[in-house]
Amino acid sequence: MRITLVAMPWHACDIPSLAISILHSRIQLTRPSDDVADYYGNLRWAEFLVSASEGVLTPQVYAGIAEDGFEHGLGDWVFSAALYDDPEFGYDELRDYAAERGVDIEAAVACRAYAAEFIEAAAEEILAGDPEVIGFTSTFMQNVATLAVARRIKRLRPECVLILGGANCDGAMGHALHRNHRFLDYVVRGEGELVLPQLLDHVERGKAPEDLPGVCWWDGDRSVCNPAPTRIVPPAAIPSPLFDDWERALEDSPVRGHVQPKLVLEGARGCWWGEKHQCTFCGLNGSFIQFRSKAPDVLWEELSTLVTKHRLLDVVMVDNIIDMNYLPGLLPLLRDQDWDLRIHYEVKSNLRPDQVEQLAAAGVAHIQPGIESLNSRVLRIMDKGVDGCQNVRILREAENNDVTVSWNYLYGFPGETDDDYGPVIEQLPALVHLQPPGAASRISLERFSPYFEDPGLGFPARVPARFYGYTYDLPVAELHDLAYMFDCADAGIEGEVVDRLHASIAGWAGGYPASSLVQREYGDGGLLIEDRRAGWPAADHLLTGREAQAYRLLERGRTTEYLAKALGHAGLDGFLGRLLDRGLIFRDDGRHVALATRNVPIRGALL
Amino acid sequence: MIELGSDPAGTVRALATLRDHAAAGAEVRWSGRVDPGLPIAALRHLPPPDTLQGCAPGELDDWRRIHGYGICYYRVGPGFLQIKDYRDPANRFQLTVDDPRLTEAFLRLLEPAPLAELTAVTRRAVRVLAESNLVLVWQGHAVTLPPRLRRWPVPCQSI
Repeated sequence: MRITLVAMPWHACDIPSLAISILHSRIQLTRPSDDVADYYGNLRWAEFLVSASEGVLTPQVYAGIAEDGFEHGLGDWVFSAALYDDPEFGYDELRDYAAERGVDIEAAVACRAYAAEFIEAAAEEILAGDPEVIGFTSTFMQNVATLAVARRIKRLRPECVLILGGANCDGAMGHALHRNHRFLDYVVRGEGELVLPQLLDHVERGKAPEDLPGVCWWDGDRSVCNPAPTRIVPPAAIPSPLFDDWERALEDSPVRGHVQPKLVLEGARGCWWGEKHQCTFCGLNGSFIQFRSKAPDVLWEELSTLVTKHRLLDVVMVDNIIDMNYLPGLLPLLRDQDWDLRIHYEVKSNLRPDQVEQLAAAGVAHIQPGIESLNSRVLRIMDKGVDGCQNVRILREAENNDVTVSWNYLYGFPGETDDDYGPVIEQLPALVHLQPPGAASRISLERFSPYFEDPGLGFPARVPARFYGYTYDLPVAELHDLAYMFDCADAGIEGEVVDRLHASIAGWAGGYPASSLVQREYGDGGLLIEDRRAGWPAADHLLTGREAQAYRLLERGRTTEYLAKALGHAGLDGFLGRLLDRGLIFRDDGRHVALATRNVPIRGALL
Repeated sequence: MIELGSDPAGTVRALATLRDHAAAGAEVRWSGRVDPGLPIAALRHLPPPDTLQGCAPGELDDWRRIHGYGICYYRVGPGFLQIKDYRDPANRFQLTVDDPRLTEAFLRLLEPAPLAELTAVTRRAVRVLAESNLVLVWQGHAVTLPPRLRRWPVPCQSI
């Protein structure tokens, strides 16, 4: 069969779609006589915008909506006009919403003017390849552009079989997408590697997929939703992705000059922490949290082959958490190549200093450690399995190893109080030489998270996030099944303490580029700490003898009792108090952790 | 005082030293004198001097304005070099070089050399690289201008 796999906006323009690249490979392996092609509708949309707007709507504008628009559904709203053949659809509601919340919608409004014309062109371009089956993938804001083009294709060529899959189809969302959109022949809920080739077999033989787990299909006008798969896809069934079509599409595109292309790879699915203690707010693993990973040598083979083939040194690992077996099994292989890789990895924040060093040496220049908070009690509420001092330690070690850290300060957890924030806010000025959070944000209620699944945990009433209302012409009950994000009453802190947290973090971000707090070995076992932090008087602090020894012990978060025992000396309160006053340590939950670094990274400004 | 121009061998050596210090993120303070004809705009990725005699008005200001860590560097991959060059704001480009003649010449001239010491093949490659200001040729001596990136800045996406 001729099959086209489609990634629509707002998929990022600098990376291939891992979903269609893996499925392309999987179809080739399981159905070698099929003719498979990938269509990058996201690139075509970025090109279309530049051309139609005569250069005003640049790839940077595209990236702005793709990266920041999700919490307001802006990207989906852009295409809802095309889905419903109504240029005004949801416009007034969005305008009111934006005014209330101070959201800039100018770019989205400008893009929307071209959406219908683009959908028409994209449908024709996809059909020009004469596909018998079209598979769409949808994650985050790809839903409405995908629905719009699928609807148009069905009108132009009713016999073409349309299949939708991806993270947006997991659980109840998949059935809601299917039953409300008659033009979608099939929706695949859950992982696609095993079931998609089977579904293609059924399509080819004209057989209803009654026996295929997770598939939604039509029995006449009745949408049938098969039970979700009970079996996870084993790593052996996840082949190395095929990026050839993406490379060609990008090389031929004027967008190429505006982006830094990156490879996207997957070593593991699920979360080894979340299997036992799922973070209460996290829904990212969907309905399958069971952790599984490719063997380190298999991942090495994939990574090195793709880096060589596509001549790209930037790699985004999409794993929700690094497999700790990759530290001994994969990182040394990466380190031993003389390649200048820049790898992004999500990690757990309790990594030891030597492990951060290992990551940096292997080319992992960018980590996302899920820090979320610097207060141990709030971290316990979210079941993070780390404490505040460990989170500060990873920020310090990132600084020591020139590693970029992406993180956010989250608040709004049921059961937290102002007392969990006051002491942290007071100490934030001492952290100004460490990488600040990108933002302080109230947590969102996400489908699949413990907070969503168990209303007893603190969010009893919830409705689909407001943006679904101005994006989809569907009743609320249907949106309840289709939505990933939900609105609910605020929990946890509010008011003045929230304002103080935001103000303090803004000050942190402003002070970071010019701040350093560096410790150097001094004389016989002493430490000289040079304080050049914004907001602090320039000072050199000399610690000698037992004080220097104590400060070194505090590189790990330690209690006063531990320190007294290790040093054989009680009465450290005065010393620890002085360190706190000078902002040389951070204290939380009875532990103290040293803040001085051994290295100051080169601070860059985003170009 | 660094003399750029009058002593060709010394000039390419000085540029290589500045290049390597810049790549390490070290703070470099220097002053110099430049001969007319030496393409100052190709040096904007090197630390700007405190003073530079002999340059046209505005050239040093441009240098200071445009200079930043990582505006021009190369990375090594398996069988290729990736070069990013933002020295000219009007002509920013990224390049992947995998022709072994070009990569060999590029890497060879990290250590400055007189053209006369190079093979004919390397000299031809140098002509190509010099057209993009990736290699500077000055009165019979040549040096590769972009440094290898040795340290990622924070944030690493900034370059």
